[in-house]
Amino acid sequence: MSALAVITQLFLALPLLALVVNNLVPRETMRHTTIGMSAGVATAQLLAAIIGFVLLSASGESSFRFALAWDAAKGLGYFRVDLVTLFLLACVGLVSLIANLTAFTTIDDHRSSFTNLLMVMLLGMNGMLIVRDLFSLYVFMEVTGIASFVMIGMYKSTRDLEGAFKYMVLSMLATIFILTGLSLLFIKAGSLSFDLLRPALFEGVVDAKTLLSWVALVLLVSGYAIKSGVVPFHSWLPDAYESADSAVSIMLSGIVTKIAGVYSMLVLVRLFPGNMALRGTLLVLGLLTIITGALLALQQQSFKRIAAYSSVSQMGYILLGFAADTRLGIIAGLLYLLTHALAKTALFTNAAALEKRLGTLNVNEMGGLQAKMPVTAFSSVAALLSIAGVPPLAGFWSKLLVLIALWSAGLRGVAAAALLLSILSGAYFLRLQKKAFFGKLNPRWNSVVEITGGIQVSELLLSIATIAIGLLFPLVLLYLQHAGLV
Amino acid sequence: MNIAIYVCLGAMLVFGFLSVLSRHLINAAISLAAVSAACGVLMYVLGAHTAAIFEVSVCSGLVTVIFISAVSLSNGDKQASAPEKRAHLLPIILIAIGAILVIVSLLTGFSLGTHSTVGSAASFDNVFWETRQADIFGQMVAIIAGASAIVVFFKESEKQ
Repeated sequence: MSALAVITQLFLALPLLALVVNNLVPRETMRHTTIGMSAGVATAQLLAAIIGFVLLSASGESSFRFALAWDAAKGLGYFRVDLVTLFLLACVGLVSLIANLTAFTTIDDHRSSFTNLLMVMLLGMNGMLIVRDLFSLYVFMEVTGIASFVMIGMYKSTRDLEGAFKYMVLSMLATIFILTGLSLLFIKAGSLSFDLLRPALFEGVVDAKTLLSWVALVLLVSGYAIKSGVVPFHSWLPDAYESADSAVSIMLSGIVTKIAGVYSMLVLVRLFPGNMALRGTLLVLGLLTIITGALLALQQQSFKRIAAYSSVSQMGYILLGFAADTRLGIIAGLLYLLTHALAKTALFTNAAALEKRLGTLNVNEMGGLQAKMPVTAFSSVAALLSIAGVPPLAGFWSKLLVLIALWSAGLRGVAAAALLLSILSGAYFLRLQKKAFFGKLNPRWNSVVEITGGIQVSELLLSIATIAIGLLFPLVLLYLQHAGLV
Repeated sequence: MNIAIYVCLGAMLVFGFLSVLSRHLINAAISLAAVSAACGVLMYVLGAHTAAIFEVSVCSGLVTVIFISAVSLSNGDKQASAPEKRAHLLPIILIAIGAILVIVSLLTGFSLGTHSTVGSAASFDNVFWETRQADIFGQMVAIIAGASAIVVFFKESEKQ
């Protein structure tokens, strides 16, 4: 059995093993131990994905097929990883690790199911990334969705349950769209396997059968757009992020919407390259999302809601990268996904720190907190500058790549619009920073002290990663090019 | 054959409508069971015999028993019968849109067509244990997720 065969087994085996172990220990008294185990699984996934990426790129193969351990001997290979999915599996591991570090502080002793749900969520996202079939992708998307609803409503307060309910209702709508789209595509193609679906489905004159493919595509894009929370399907997202525990918000904002929605759209882009309708839809959705998300973020007073609407807005840049429909565009979108995950995870970690120390997230009640919480303020500013695209931070490079991809794909007007719209990102974040961390210290917070423990470690880790990736980005890009991803 | 298909589709529509609009949880659960039963018959008529058996036994049978047991244990049916505003208009609009689409498709001769390989001779064992193994694994994880949800909502206490 090759090293890659062993590593790929870990993506399913480790969360499953953690689930079993977590239910064997008395969880109420061992909350820290179980969260520590969950953090261990996330770290192992991060390392396994990085090692897998190196091994696969060294092998010269484009992908590696595998199956569950007991089926591998039969020669079955219903799962597959490639460089893109290994890159995303590493992102899942990284964000899960940060969520666990935050959970040490934010999750109370009565939330013994947190680790169970996080492992189910991890299994769902890993499953989505390794399957080779659109229906299997949907099955694992539902698994991720179920874990998300429950985690949002975990504390059972009215606000939590409302957030979970909104997410669930809109997810049901997404399910209807996706299943109908898959049915129509199945009628047309006779299969939903990635290997058998071909761009030819959309060729020819607009007859009834081609129309069927177009309707299927529209329904699938709409369903995936709901899952990723892009405009006009974004209404569930701020409520869900705000009501959830910060560790859960980190998972939702940092990775769940990106894998459940954006990755699914990437699957469509990779399955049907050169499809003008898909490209046009992503362009329109991308621009609309950037503008609406940013304008709504400007009007919010809650730290978490500003970060949530910013997530909506930034998702638009990832879609624009994919809409360029070139290799560079896809890579730009993926790198944007990584840098945004780092920055947004940092902001939700800051939210956890502020909520813990102040008991409120209303930015109007804050002010001058950089004197009392310097690490949180530094981490927040680094994340803000990265999202706004200020050099030399990681977000600058990924935004630049998206703009270059759009420009070189002939979409110069869109590239110019995207560049201008990034000013809006700067505007809402400057307002947030000014109100929360700068200016005169609100006397209410005279006795406030800096957060410690897992949250502080997360803040520092994410800031270092954002700065280091930014400074070393040319080298990172060279390595990715050498590995074959770029 | 065609008549059976249309009867099943009509029954699904009517019982689906009733299950959404019913003020009593038990009636809603029974209507939902009727939808599943009609869907099972439809699957059988269309040749998906194994899927039909699963649909009738699990969705129409087992799930209904669980629903009714849960409603009886929690007295939810009495609570749900309190007068409240119901959105009757939405399902009517949805049904009207569906009816318009059906009429347009009949008038324009639009046909979904069929694919010759759909539901081909692959055996149940082959589908269950080999071709759709990834989905079966996903379903197992979904069941674990459901069990965790029950623990969270019915066993764990509210925020301290």
